[in-house]
Amino acid sequence: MKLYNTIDILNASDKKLRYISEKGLLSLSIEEMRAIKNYFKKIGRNPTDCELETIAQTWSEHCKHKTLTASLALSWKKNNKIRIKKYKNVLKETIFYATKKIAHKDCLSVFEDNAGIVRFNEKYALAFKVETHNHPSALEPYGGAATGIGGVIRDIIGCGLSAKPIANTDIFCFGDLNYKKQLPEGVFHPRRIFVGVVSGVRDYGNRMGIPTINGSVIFDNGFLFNPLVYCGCIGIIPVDKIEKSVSPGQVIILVGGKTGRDGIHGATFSSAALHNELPTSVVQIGDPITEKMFLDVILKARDLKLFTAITDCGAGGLSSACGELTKDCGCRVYLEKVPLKYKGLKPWEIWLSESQERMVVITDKDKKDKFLALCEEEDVEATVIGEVTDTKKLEVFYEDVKVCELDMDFLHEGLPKRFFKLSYESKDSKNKKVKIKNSLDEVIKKVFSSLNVCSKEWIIRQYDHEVQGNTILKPLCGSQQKNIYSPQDAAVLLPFNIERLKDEKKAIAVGCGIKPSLGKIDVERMTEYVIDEAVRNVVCVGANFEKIFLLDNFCWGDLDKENLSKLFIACEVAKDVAIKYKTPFISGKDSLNNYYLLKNKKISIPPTLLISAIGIIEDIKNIKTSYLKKINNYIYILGKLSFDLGGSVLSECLNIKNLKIPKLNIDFAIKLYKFINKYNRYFCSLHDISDGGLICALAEMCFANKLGVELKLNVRDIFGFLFSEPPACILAEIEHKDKNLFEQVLKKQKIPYLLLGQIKKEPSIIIYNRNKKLLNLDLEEVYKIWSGQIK
Amino acid sequence: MKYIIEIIPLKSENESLIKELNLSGLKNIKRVIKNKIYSISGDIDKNKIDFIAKELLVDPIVENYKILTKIKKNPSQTIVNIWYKPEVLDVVSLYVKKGIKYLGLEEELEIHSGTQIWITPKVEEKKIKSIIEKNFMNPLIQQYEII
Repeated sequence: MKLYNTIDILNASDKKLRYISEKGLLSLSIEEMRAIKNYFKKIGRNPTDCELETIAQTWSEHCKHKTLTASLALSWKKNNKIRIKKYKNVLKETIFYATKKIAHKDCLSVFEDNAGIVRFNEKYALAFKVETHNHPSALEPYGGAATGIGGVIRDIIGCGLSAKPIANTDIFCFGDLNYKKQLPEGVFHPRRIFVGVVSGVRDYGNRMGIPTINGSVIFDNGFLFNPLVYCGCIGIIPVDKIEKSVSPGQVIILVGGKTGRDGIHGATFSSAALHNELPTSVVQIGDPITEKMFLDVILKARDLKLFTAITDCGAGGLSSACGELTKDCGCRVYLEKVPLKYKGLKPWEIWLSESQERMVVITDKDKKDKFLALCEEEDVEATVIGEVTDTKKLEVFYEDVKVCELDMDFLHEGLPKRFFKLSYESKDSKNKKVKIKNSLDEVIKKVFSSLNVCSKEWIIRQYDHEVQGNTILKPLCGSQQKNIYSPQDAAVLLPFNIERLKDEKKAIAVGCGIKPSLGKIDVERMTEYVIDEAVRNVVCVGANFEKIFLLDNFCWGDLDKENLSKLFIACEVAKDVAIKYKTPFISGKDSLNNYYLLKNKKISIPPTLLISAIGIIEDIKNIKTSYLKKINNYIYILGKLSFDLGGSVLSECLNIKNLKIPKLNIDFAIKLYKFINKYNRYFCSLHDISDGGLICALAEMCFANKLGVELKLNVRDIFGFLFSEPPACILAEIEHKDKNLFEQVLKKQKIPYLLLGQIKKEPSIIIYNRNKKLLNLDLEEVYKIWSGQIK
Repeated sequence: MKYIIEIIPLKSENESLIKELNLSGLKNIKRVIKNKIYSISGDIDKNKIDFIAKELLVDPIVENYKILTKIKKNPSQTIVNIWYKPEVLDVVSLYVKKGIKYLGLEEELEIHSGTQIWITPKVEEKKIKSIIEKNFMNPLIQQYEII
C-alpha cells in the first residue's frame, strides 16, 4: 500500500487550488489554500494528503469558528442614526466579552475546555455543553442524532480531568410533520426525521444511563431540508479535577472503540451545503455500550490520578484530539498502533477518521501500565499510540514512514483572518392593526392543536428522565392514574445521591429558549427573547437569578451578506442582554451553512439561536412547579402584558404577517426576577407565558390537578391579550389568604401586575370581559386536542 | 455454512406499517411484518446456531425465531432483507460476536444484523424499490435484497 500521496500545490494556480479544496471535500477558501501554499513554499516541499487533511480539519468552521472570530466593520442603522462598529474578533468582543465583563466568581473554566465549568458548591462544579448535529441528522436521522448525543456526552467525559455525565438535554427543529408536498430525492419526510432523531437520542441516552431532562421541539417548514438537532449534556466534576496538564515525555493513549472509515470529513462536511450526492463515510453510527464501558473506567482512573489530560475524538478524530492536546509542546503518533475495524485504511484515513466512542488520554510513563491494566480489567480497549514531545511539531508516522510533519504554530495560528464589511438596519416594528375574523373558539382550537404548542408527551416519554435517581422536577407533572399532565418550565436535578449528601440543599435548574419564528422577522428581538425565555424558565422553578449561566448555539443558513450581518447583530445583542442580566456565557457552538442546494438555489433555515440556561437553586425548598394547587387561590400576571402578536403561534396559525413584536424591557425583567427570588414564599405555582400566549399558559397550569379558573377582564383587544407572547411575563398562583399582603409587596416593589381571577373546582376557563361572558373553555376537551397531536 | 436467523415478533406492528405503505401510495396491502434478522457464517453446526438464537438473539416473551439456510421465495409475498453496507459499523453484530464468546463458543464467525420486511400480497419489483427506500431503509448506509 502506498502510504501517502503528495499534492502539488507549489505550482498550482488559484483555479487549481480551488479545485483541490473542492475535490478533496476540504471546505477551504482560496485565501486559506494560498496560506497553505505559502507555508509549504517556505519549507520547500509539497504537502502529503495527510498534512492537507490535517490542516483542513483544524481550520474547519466546526473547529475554528472562523466566521464568528472574523474581523468586522459593521455599519448599523438604528433609530435613523448610523453607528460604525469595528471588531478585531467578533466572538471575543461580544460573547466572550460579556463573560469577561460580568466576571462571575463561580465561572471556573469558560470557553477553554470541551465544556463550560461553573461552581456548584465548595467541592464540586458543573460542566455543561450543547452541541449541534444537524447535517448528519438530515442524512441519517437515527445515527446522526445518536452520535450527536454520544459526542456531547464525550465532551463532558473529556472536560477537565473528566466529569461524570448526569443529565442530557435535546432541542429539535423539524419541518411540518403533516407536510403533504413532494420532497426532492434524498430528502426525508419530516415525520421520518422526527421519529429517527427522537429514537436516536432515546437509545443512546437511555443505554448510557443518563436522564434526558429538558428540551424543546419546534416545527417550521424552514427546517424541511435542514433539521436542527441540538444535544446537551451536564456533568459533575470535583473542583480539583478541572485543570489538564500536558508535558514532554508523557505518552498518548487511545481508549475505546476501533477506528474505521466512518465519519471521515465530518468536520469539513459540516461547513458545506447539503445535497443529494454525499459519500457514506460522512455518516457515523453510535455505540453507547462501548461509551458507557469507558466512561466507568475513566472516572475510576481519574480518581486514582492515572492521567493528566483527556479529550474526546470528535470532529477531526485523532488529528483534532492529539493536535489540540499537545499544541503547546508537540507530539509523535504511530498510526500502525491504532486498532482498526478492518484492514485497508490509508494512514490519513486512520488519522482523520471520526469513528465514535474514542478518547485520547495523556499520562506519565510510570502510570501507563496501571492505566492499561485497569482498562483491560473492564474489557475496554486502550493502546499507547504516541508520545508528547518538545519539538512544537505534529509528527505522524506509519511503520517508520513520516506521513505528516507540521509546525504547531502554523497549524493553530496560521489560519488567515477573515474580514467582513457589512451593514444592517434595525427594523421598525410594524404596528399593523389586524382584525381577526375567526371566532375565539376556532382560534383557540387552532392554537392548542398547533405542533408548536401541543403536548410533547410522546417525545418526553421516550426518554428515561429519572435514571440515576437525581431528577427532582421532571418535564411533566400530574397524575399517572388520570393520565393528565402539566408541562414544567425547567427541570431540576439534585446532582448527588440524596443519601450521600443529605446536608446539601442546593439543586440545579436546566431550561432553554428558542424562537425561530422571531428569527425570521427580527434577529434582535429573537436574541433578546430567547435569552429572557431561558432565564425566565429557570427562575420560575426557583433558580437564583444571580447564579444563572448561559450557553449559546447559533444555527444559521447560507452566509450571504444579509445573513452574516444578522449573525453578528445577534452576537452584539446577546452581549448586551447578558451583561445587563449578569448571566455569563460559559460555552457555545455555532452551526453555519445550514442550507440545501436545490437546482442551484440555496434554501436556508431561519436564523435560530438556542440559549440553554443552568441555574443554581440555593435550597430545594424554593422549587416551584407550574400546575395550580388549590381552589380559591388567586392567579396574577406579573409583568407588563403585551398585546403585540408578532412572531406568536397565533400569527403563524392564521398566517398574519408584519405584526409588531413584543419588546423586552431588560431593567424591568431584572427587577421581576429578583422579586420572584426574594418573595419565593408567596408562590404556590409559577409558569411563564410563552408559545401560545396567556391562554395556553393558563390551560397548562390547570391540567395536572384538573382545576379551572375564572377570569374577570377589562380589555379591548382580547386576541392580543390572550395570544401575545411577551418576554418577562409570568403567571403566579398566590394563596387566598395572602392576597392583600402580596399586593402590598407588589406595589411597594413597583412590579406591574394584573389580578386575573380565582381558581375553581370545575376544569374550565371562564372569561368575563367588561362584565360580559366571553368564553367557557372546557379543559377536558382542550386537553384531548392539546395532547393528541404528536403520537 | 451460512445461516439466516429470523426473529419474529409475536405481536407485529402490522397496522401502522400498512398505514405507512398506504401513505406512500401502496394500496390493498393486507399484511406487513418487520423482523430482525441475523446472518451468521462460519464453521458451525445448526445445534450451536440454535443455542445462540435461544440464549442470545431472541426474547422468548415477545419473539419467536426461525433458522434458515436459504430464504425461499414465496409467490404470494415480497420479502426484502436490509443490511448495513460493508463500510458502515454494524454495532449489533459486534455485540452478538462478543455475546457468542461469553456463551463459551470459540468459532470464528462473520455476523451481520439487519431487518426483514414481508409484504402480502406480492408487490411489483419496480414499485417496491421506492417504497423500501422511503420507508424502511437509508440508501446512504444500507443496502437491500429482494427475495
